[in-house]
This record gives sequence, structure tokens and C-alpha cells, in this order.
Amino acid sequence: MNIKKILFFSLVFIAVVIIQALLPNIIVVHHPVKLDLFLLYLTVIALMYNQLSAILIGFFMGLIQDISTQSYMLGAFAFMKSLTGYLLGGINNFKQIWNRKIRYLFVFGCYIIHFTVYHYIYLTRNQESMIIGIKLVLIHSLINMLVLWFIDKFIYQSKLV
Amino acid sequence: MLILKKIYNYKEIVAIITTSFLSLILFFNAQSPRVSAVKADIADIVTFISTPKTWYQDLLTVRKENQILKESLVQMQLLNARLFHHKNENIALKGMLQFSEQSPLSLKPCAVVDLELTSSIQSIIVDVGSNDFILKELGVLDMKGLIGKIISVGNNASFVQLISDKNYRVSIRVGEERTLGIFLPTHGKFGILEGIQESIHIEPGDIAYTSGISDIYPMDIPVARVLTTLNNSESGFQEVSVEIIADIYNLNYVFIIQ
Repeated sequence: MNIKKILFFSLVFIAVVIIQALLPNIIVVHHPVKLDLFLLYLTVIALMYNQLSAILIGFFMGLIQDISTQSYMLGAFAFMKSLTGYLLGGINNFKQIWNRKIRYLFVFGCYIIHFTVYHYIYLTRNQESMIIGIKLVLIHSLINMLVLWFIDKFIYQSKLV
Repeated sequence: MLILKKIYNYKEIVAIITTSFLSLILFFNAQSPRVSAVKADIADIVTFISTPKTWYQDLLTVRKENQILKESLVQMQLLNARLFHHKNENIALKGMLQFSEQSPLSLKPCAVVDLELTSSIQSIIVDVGSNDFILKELGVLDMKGLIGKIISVGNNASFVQLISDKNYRVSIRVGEERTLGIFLPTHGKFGILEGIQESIHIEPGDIAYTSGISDIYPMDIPVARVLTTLNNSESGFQEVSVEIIADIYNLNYVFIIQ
């Protein structure tokens, strides 16, 4: 990665942090849902570059997210984001073998895992919360997938995934 | 260098392990109810996974405890047996004390330390001697009747010739007329009464008591119970077979008449 690219992605990262902080919740099927721009940024990094970058950026990004949103539970996002970075970065090893649909499906699986861990930590342990949690995991994963598809389609001309 | 090269080859794995480790340390050190809930869930999983190990450890512990309990059980059984023995001894001693207090005779209680029924002289050894002012030729009895007499005295022990010894003789009175006779042992607990004339009326079940003629025995100590009587017209005396009243085969404590 050259200096220009590093600079570019650093600026994008700052923009992502600011936008993520300002982004409001939207109500989907009676539940508040927020787009995870950090996850999308991480996905782009993981797909464009290598697994190691995705892990390290994911970890530091998660730490920033922890500090800015939930300092009482430091480490949760750092763990989730570095794990997701590792999983998403793994797609590069199979880029020649898997077709586009399978790659999308894999990314969707990674999102499901990311949001499952997230909601597992945040929701209380009862049956009602579990049902809501499943719904939220699916909604968050689908919304993020949709935005990823837009980014892939209109920014990267379907060359990202 | 080789290690660094290997680490470099697996840099992604090292990175994910390191970042996961760091983030989980940060996470589990946080003081939050949600972190506590996650910790509880992990503890549940660990407990479930370690169930076979716990079960095996419990099994070993149970085996060890079982062995200790078995040893304790044996010790308690021995203690219980001792207590039972002491209880029975206590009952016997209480009976003896009562007998000793009710008896008009001056009695010295003593324990039987040895019993010799097969030698030339059927005898017992008691745990009192000259230190307890025991003299030769003193009568010995148990709670039922006459046992024998002292034939030898040591400092702390004495020999008692038993009533069942073949050389033992004792003067008795028997029947309603208190007829004089001589008790002679024959075999085991049995004996005969000599010198009872045919004209004297004696019934089975009558008790022969010491006559009091001898210097050794005071009068009216139960000696034997009449079993059968048979008139012998040739000699003019009855053949009276008797059974010794004293429990000579089960002697624990006896009394010496002082």
C-alpha cells in the first residue's frame, strides 16, 4: 500500500468515524437499527487488501468504537471487528475458486457472525430477547449487505467482491 | 530467524490470536453486568465440558471416602462390641453388688483370671491373694451357689479348687428333715449325695445346702439340686443324683467368704 492510498484510507476512516457518530437510528420492523459504517469500511479493506491489514485495522477500529460508544465494555468491538476482519480477509484465499454469489454469501455469513456476537453481548438472556436478537441480526446484516452491494456496484463497478 | 520466518508465514493467525487475546483481556476486565453475564455463560460451558472430569474426580473422591468410612465402620463396630461387653459386665457387677449387700456373709468379690477344667485338679485362679487378706481353706461361691474353696494363696492371686473336682467333698443337708449327707462330684456338673438313708423323703428339685459342720463353709449355701433318687435295699442308703447349682462353666466374678 503506497502513501497516497494510506492517506486516502485514513481520510476515509476519519470521515467514517464522523459519519458513524452522527448517523441516526432508523426504525425497521419496530426496532432501532443503525448502519455499521465501520464494518463496511473493514469489509472494503479486507476485500481490497490482505487478511493481516483487515485484522489490525479491525482491532484498532473496534477499540475506537469501544472508546467512543461504550467505554464500560472496552474490548467488545475490538474483538468482534478483528474476528470479522480475519474472516472477511479469508475470502482472498478463495477468490479464484468461489464465484461472486458464494463470495457475497460468505460476506453475509461474516456479518451474521459479527452481529450475532454483538447482540449476544448486548441483549438479556431470555427467550423474547433471543427472538428479537435473531431479527436484529438479520436486519443489520441485510442492511449492511445492501449498502455493500451499492458500494460494490456504484463505486467499485462490481470489482470489490 | 527460523522462528521469525515461521511466525511471518502464519502472521494472520498470530495477529488474530494477539488481537483476540488483547481485546478479550480488556473485555473481561470491564465491570459491567453484560460482561458478568458473558462470564457466567462461559462458566456454564466450561462446567458442561468438564463434567466427565468432575465426574471422574468425584468418583475417585467417593472411593477414597468409602475406604475411610469402611475403616471408621470397623473401628466403630469394635467400639460398639466393647461397649456391649461393658454393658453386660456392668449388669453382672450390679447384680453381684446387690447380692453382696443382701448376703449375711462377709464376701470378697474377685475376678476369675484363669479356668482349668482339664487338669488333674479342676480349678480357677482369682485375682486376690494374701495382700487382700485371703487365707487358705476359704469357701468360694457365685450368685447361685457354692463354687469351691481356696487351696493355694499367692500375694495377688489364689487357686480355687472347684466343686466339680473329683477329690472335692462337702457336707450337706437336704430334704424337709435337713438330713446330713456328703456331696461327691461325678462328671461335669453332676454329682451324688452319699449317706442319705432310705427312710428319708427326698424329691427331685430339692436343694442340698452346706451343713455348717465344716470349718470352711458357713451353713445354708446352696450346693446342688436333686435330680433323681433311687432306693438301694442292699446298702440301706439312697442313690441320689444331683446337679451343681453354681454356673461353673461360665465364671467371670466370684465371691470369697471371709
